Amino acid sequence: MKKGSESALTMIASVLLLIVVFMVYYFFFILSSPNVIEINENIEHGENIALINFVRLNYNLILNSTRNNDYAELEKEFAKLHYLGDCVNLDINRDVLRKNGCLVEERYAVRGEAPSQATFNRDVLAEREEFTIQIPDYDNQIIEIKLRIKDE
Amino acid sequence: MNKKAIATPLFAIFIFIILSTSIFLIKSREAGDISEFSIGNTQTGIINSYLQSEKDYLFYEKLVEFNEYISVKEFAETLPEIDSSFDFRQHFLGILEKNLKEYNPTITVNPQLNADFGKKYYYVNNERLNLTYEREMSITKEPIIDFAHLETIKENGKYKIGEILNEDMEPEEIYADIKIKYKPIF
Repeated sequence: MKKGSESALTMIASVLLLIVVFMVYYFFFILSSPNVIEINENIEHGENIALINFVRLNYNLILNSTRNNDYAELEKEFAKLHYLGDCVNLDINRDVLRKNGCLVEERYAVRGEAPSQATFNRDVLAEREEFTIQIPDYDNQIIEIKLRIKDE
Repeated sequence: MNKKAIATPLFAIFIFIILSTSIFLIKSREAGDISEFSIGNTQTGIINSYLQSEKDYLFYEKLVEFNEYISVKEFAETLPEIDSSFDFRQHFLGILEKNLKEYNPTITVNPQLNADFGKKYYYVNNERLNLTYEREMSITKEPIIDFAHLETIKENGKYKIGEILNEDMEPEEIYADIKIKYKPIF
């Protein structure tokens, strides 16, 4: 083989090699399944934000309600939180505000109802997500507010 | 040049690239690796920490607000006979700081009515991450009392010093009985 034809052969071999290498890369990236990471964890925090906003907007009403032990007005405001669903409770210093008749377990326990009774509401057995916030009242006493939502 | 001299190293490099690429791609796409890799927990932890800090901030904000109301009332009741050197702002700050320290002795209040509760730390810990989120809890408020106006008062009398919310969360105007210490002429 002549010297000139050898160098041409080298060039052709190199180019072919490069093409093959790129094809292999292409083959692996195209044919292998896409690496999609599914995030199944619940990363929504709408309830927590709703609780903070509710407390901030109704702060004076919350203090008045706890002072007078009268939650009628606050219950009306609480009922406006439609987007949280139907089975939602607000627990202020262990006084429970309910929405659409959805009660928390403790109330049923106090009344002595059992799941076997016909009137028993199955909602009470449902798992609930709980969001807590602590706020000070006028005398620096701490008020604990819990938002409980039925885990759908 | 010998053909073997060209082909052998090129072939070796070619095989090396193919094998290393294959191993990398196969190992990085193993199902086990993917299931372990979770960004959801980390994000949830970080967002929860932030929201908890917002709740704590609201707590301190209201704590300062109510203690300011109480302090304004106390300020009006405890004003001594004043002279030209009397510092209204300092007198008020003393009362506010005393009231806030009843809640937590480490709280400091500076003359700009900035209540400093220090730093709060929130931790996000899991197998792969130890993250600390810190937030400076410092509340600055526009004072209810107009101190500049009080300093211009030259005559005895009852002056309105501000409006607060009382224990029933109703607005209440606060008046202070200001007595000026006159210097004896002779």
